[in-house]
Amino acid sequence: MRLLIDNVSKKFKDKWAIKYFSAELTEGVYALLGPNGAGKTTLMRMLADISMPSTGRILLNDKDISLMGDDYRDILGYLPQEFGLYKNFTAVRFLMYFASLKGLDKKFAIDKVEEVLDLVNLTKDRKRKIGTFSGGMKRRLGIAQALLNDPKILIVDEPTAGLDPQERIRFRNLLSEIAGDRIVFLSTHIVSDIEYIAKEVLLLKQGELIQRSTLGNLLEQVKGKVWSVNVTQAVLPEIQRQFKIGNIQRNESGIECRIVHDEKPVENAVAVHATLEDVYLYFFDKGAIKDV
Amino acid sequence: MYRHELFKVFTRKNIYIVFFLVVLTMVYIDKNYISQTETMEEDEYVELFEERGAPVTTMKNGVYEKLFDEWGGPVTEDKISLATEKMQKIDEKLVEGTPSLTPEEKAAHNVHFIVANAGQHEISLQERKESLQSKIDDVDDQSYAYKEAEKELSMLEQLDDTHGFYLIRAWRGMFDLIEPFMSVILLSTLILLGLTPVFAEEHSQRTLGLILATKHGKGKLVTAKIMASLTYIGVVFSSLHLVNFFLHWLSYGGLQGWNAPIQSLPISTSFNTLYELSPFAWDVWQYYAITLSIQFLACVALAFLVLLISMLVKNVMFAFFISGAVIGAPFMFRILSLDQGIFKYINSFSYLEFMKVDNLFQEFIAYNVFGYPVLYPLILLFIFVILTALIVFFTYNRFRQQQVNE
Ligand SMILES: Nc1ncnc2c1ncn2[C@@H]1O[C@H](COP(=O)(O)OP(=O)(O)OP(=O)(O)O)[C@@H](O)[C@H]1O
Ligand SMILES: [Mg+2]
Repeated sequence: MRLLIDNVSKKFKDKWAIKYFSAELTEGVYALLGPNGAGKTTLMRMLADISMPSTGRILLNDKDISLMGDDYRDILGYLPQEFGLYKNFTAVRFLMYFASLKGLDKKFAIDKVEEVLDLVNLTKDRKRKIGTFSGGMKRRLGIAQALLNDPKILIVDEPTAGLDPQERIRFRNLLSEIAGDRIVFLSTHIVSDIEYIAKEVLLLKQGELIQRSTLGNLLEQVKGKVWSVNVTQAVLPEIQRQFKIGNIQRNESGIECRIVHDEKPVENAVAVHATLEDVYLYFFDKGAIKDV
Repeated sequence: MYRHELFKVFTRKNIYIVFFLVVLTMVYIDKNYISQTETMEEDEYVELFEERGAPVTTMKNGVYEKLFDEWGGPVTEDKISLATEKMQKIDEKLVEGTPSLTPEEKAAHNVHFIVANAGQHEISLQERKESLQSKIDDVDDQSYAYKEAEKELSMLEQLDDTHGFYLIRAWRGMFDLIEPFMSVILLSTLILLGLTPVFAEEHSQRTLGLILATKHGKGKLVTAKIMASLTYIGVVFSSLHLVNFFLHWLSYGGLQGWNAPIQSLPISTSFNTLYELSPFAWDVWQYYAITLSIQFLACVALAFLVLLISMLVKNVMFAFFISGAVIGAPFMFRILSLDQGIFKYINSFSYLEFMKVDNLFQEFIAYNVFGYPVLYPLILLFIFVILTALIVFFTYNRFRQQQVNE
C-alpha cells in the first residue's frame, strides 16, 4: 500500500496553510510534528477527504483519492482534532450509527462495537449518554469510531490530547500493535507519544515539510548540540534571550538549564544526551510541551 | 442509518411541546367556536347573522336532520320561493324585536338562508355558462380565449344539481387545521422545527467532519436523512389531521355530507360557500382526499426546501428564519399590495398556496401554456415537481462537495 501526497497545498484567501507538501507513505506509523498553526490539521483533513487541496493530489496505489471517493473512505479511519458527538446518544448507539455510516453489516457491527469499546476501555460506560462523558472519554469514543472499520489508513489528529497518562500509554500500545499492515498518520505536540512507535517523523513548519526522517536520524542531527548548564537566577533572562531553552529545573546549586545550540553556549556547559524534545526545539525554535 | 437519523429527529423535545400546543389550540378553537351559537343570546346571534350570513351551528341535536328531510338535496324552484318567504317572515319578526328565536327556529332560519343562497348560486352558475357561451360564439376559434372559455364551459357542463342544502358542516373544518391559513402556519412551524436541524446541527455540533470521512457519509447519509425527514412529516401530518378529523366528527356528531358536491362546501365561519363556481365535479370525500394529498405533497416539497436551506445555511436559527421567510413571503407581498405582474406569479405559485390548497379549486383558473389553457393546480404541481427534483439533486450534489475547513 502506498499513499502518495503529491505537491499538495491548501490556500485560505492569501494564506498558505499547506504549501507544496509531498511525501510517500507506506505501512507504519508516521508522526507529523509541528507547532501550533503549522498546518497539521489542514493536511490531515485533506488526507481524510473532507477538504479539497488547492493544488496537487493525493494518490492511493496510484489512484486519486478524490476519484476513489467512497472506496477510499471505506478503508479510512479518521479522528479529527476537534469534534462533537451526539449528546443524547449512548456510546453503543453512537458506534452503531458510525458502523452503518461505514457500511458494516449489522450483525458484524454488534460484535465490532463491543470490541472497539473494549480497546478504548469504555465497555462499562457503553450504555451511558455521551452528554455525561468527560473530555477524555469523548476522545476515546472518537478513537473507537475511527477503528470500527479496521481502517487501512488511520489518520489521527492529536489523538492523545486530554487523555490521562494511563490512557495515553494504552493508546500508544494500541497504535504500535495495529500499525503492522496499515498506514497510521498521527499528529501531536507531545513527543513522548511517538518516541517509540514512529517509523518516521515529518516536521512541518509554516505549511512546509522541512524534514522527513527516522527518529534515529533526527537525534543524530542534534547530537552534540544539547547542553546542560547551571546558572544563577540573575543571568537566566539573558540566557533565555540568547539561546533555545528546553527544561529549566531548580536544584540545590542554582538553576539547571537545557540549551540546544550548535556550539557550546557558555563556558561551563556540558554536552548531554539528545531526546526527541530537543529535536523539536532545535527545528521549531520553541519549547515542546513536556508531558508524561 | 435511517433508524439513527430518525432517532435524532424524534428526540428533539421542542417538537413535542409545539405539537401539544397545536393540538390544544385546535381543541380550544373547536370547543369555543363550534358550540358558540348554541348558547348565544338573541342579539348576538342577529349581529353574527348580519355580519357573516347564517352562522356556524352543529348538527348534534338532530334539528338539522329533520330540516334536511324537508329541504335537503339540490334546490328546486319551489324550495327557493318557500325558503325566501319563510325567511322574510322571520326577518320581520326579528326587526320588530319580538320574542327570541328557539334553537329550532334559528336552525330553520339558517337552512332557509342556505336554500335561498343556493338558488342564487344556481343562477350565478347559469349566468357564467351563458357568458362563456357568448364568448365562445364571439371570439376566433383559434384564439386562446376561445380555448379557455371552452374548457371552462365543458367543465361546468359536467356539474349537475350541485347547489342545495346538504348536511355538510362537519366537513368544512376537516380540510383545514382550524382554518386554511392556520394549517399552513401550524404545519410549517412543525416542519421547520423538526427539519431545520437535520443538516445544520451536524455543523454546529461539529460532527460533520466525522461523518464526511466515512464511506456512506457523503451519499447514503443524505438519503437516510431525507427518509427520516419524510417519516417525521408523515407522522406530524397524519396525526394532526387525525386529531382534526375526530374533533370534527365528535363536535358535529357525524360525517354526513361526505357525498355532497363540493360546490355547497361552506367556509369555516359560516354557511356561505366559496365554491359556487368551482368547475370540479367532485364529492366532498373525493375533495377531502385530494386536498390532503396535495397538502401532503406540499409538506414534502417544503421539507426538501428546508433540508437544503439547513445544509446551506449551517445554522438552525438562520435556517428557521430563512425558511419561514420563503413561506411567508407571498403573505407579506399581498399585505404590501405586491400582487401584480411578476409578484402575481410568485404569490400564486408559492409554497404557501400549495400548502393552503383551498385557493386551487375554488374557481376556474387556467394559464396559457403554449397557447393551451392548463389548470392552475396542474401547473402548480408540475412546477413544484420540477423545482423539488432540482432541489433534491442540488442537495445531494452540494452535500458531497462539502468541506470541513474550520
Ligand atoms: N478555515 C480557515 N481559514 C483561514 N485560515 C485557516 C483556516 N483553517 C486554518 N487556517 C490557518 O492555517 C494555518 C494552519 O492551521 P492548522 O489548524 O492546520 O494548524 P495546526 O498545525 O493543526 O495547529 P494546532 O497545533 O494548533 O492544531 C493556521 O495559520 C490557521 O490560522
Ligand atoms: Mg491542529
